[in-house]
Amino acid sequence: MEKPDEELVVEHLAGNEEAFTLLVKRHLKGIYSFVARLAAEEADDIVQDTFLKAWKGLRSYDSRSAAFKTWLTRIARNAAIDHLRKKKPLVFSDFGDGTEDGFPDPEDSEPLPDEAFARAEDAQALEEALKSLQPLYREVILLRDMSQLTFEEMGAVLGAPVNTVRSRYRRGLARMKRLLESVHQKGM
Amino acid sequence: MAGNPGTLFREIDPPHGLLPSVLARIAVARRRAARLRFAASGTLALVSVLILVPAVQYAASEFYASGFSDYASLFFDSLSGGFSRELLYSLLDSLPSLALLILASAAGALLWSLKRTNRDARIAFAPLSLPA
Repeated sequence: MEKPDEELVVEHLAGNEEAFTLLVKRHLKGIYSFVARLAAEEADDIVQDTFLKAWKGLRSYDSRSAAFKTWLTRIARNAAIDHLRKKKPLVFSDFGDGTEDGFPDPEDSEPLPDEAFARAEDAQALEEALKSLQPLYREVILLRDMSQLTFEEMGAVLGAPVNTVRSRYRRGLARMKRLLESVHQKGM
Repeated sequence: MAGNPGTLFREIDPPHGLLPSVLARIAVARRRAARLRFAASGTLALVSVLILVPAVQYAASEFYASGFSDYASLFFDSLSGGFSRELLYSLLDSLPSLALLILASAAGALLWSLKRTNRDARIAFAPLSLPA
């Protein structure tokens, strides 16, 4: 049976370097997938920075406050923001109220856009729609729909209240739906 | 959709060279940290030796000056005739405690720093073993 991450952290802190190698192998794909969709061109550097920062800061990790995956994803997100800021200052300034792209906010009762996603049979269309989203929404959708974090875990990664994360996620999905619909209409 | 995560985007396979690159950067950082610790603990070991020599001389002179060995000899001789509490107090009173404290601290620091130096040297100067 596979050892839990937290046990590997304890082993690493006790002097077993191989335990951290196992953690890297276990989380590399997930972290890379998340980072590559936030900052594709610099994904390799960001992933390297992420694991290096995790290695250096492992003593500060507290398994009672967050799962290792959540903690690591938070480091990856911060590393991605740092890289993007260096490359293009204020690129993440749209991490504000999220109304800059002209789409109205969905009502809470608005149904989730399953239909639109079902129509997007082509994964490429989904990827393109995701790329068109602001990073603010892109990251919540990735954290939820790829990394499979709970809203509580997403709140820990983003440093935001759960309700904020939840509404941001819904807005992100609604915006993706509109993007996919416009792609679909153009294709008709 | 919101209640069914993990359905929209699949994970992407990282480039083949990424894992070795990550592990290499960690190995280099680990070696650099070990070299810094080696320098610090090596310096402490050197300072401990430099303190230890006068500490031994000071402790020896204090032993002679305090008459501790005389009281010790009297105390052990008296044991055959019964335990003398006063002699014991005199013996303890004559103990050169400051000299002993300095000596023990220097010896302790030397042992601790040698142990650290030895451990860090193995990491700091070992060739980097990077995964293929």
